[in-house]
Amino acid sequence: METNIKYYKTAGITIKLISDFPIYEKSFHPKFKLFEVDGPGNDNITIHHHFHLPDLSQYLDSTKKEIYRNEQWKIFQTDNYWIYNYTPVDPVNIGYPTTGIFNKDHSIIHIYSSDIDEKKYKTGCFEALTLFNSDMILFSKLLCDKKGLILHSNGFDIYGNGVLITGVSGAGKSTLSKMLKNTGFEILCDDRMFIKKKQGFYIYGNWCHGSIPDVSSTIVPLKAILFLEKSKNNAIQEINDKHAVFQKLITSLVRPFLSGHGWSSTLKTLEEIVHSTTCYNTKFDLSGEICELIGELFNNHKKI
Amino acid sequence: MDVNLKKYYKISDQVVTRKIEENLIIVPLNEGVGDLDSEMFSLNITGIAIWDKLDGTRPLDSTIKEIAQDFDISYEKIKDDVIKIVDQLLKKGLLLEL
Repeated sequence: METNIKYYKTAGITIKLISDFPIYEKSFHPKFKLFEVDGPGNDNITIHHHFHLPDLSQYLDSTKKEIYRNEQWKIFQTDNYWIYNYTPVDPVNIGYPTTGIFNKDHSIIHIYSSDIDEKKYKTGCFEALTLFNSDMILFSKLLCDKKGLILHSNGFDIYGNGVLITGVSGAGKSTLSKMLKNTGFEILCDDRMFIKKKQGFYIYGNWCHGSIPDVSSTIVPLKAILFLEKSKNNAIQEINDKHAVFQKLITSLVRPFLSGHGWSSTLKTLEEIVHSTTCYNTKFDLSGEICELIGELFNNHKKI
Repeated sequence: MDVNLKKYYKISDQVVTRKIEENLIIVPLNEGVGDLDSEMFSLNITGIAIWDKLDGTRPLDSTIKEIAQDFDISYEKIKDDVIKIVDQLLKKGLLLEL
């Protein structure tokens, strides 16, 4: 059935997508099916897709200031709006030149792309609801206002325990994730994990994945963070030095465009995560033995 | 910019800080916004003692004397460390020379 409205949900936030063109089966990547919901939830935002140039005069005023610029992004802020100009850079970026007008709290968003016609939209298989290369700009701001953040990490559901795997580039996040996946544990998302506080912290499967396209809409309580280290043996050792944990985690924080207030809130959330989550140094080789150790550790957690 | 003991220095208002465990995390802002490229900094106990006194109310020389007194070590022993930190903070734009 042809529709111009769809709803998607992750991190407890429901996104109402309203498009000037009908939203077709292949307009968005199949992964979005996992996150589709029937209607609004408790916490809602709206994204409107338009396929012409925006009339910026209604958004820009004397308070306009440029806050960031690189080859890919030009970002402006006024007292009432954030304006993101996205230009894909070949061959790294996907998508089309797109302008996003976001209200202050990013709850009402208008996306404009005159380069997309109905044919392109019909089969676009877009990876992001904002039509940018990813929806991280949106979620980093939304999560910050809701005691949440995004960590550069892979997320797993291990016997009902939310486990994040992180480490420096080349530490083996993808390798271990593939091993855990093959062991039968559910991957929620690789590369970018959404974390948000309800009573405790929860990790949310989402569609902002990296090299492993498997995603899940599963939500599990955050129980542990594993910091990876490639090694010739396999071992998991708890880290008791919270300062060391914070220093490691801050390098994994996906840094959003935030005001000073937003940053204060993000650092506070990160500190709370550090104090409420058990963290482990995790050494592993390619034998697969580490998956047994991880399984045993969290199977015991389940029993407790 | 060379560090001058007779000058007054003040922390820029374009930063966000949070004390976590025994360290101070500093996020620089640009036009009031911290962005993807912002490099974060961390100061230890000594660094925090220096940071807290850089409020633009006294010359650096007096700041060093106060810190030496607080930590019960000689002025000469701590002077180079303070100058080094002030120099780094100035270069990163986290500190303003008044």
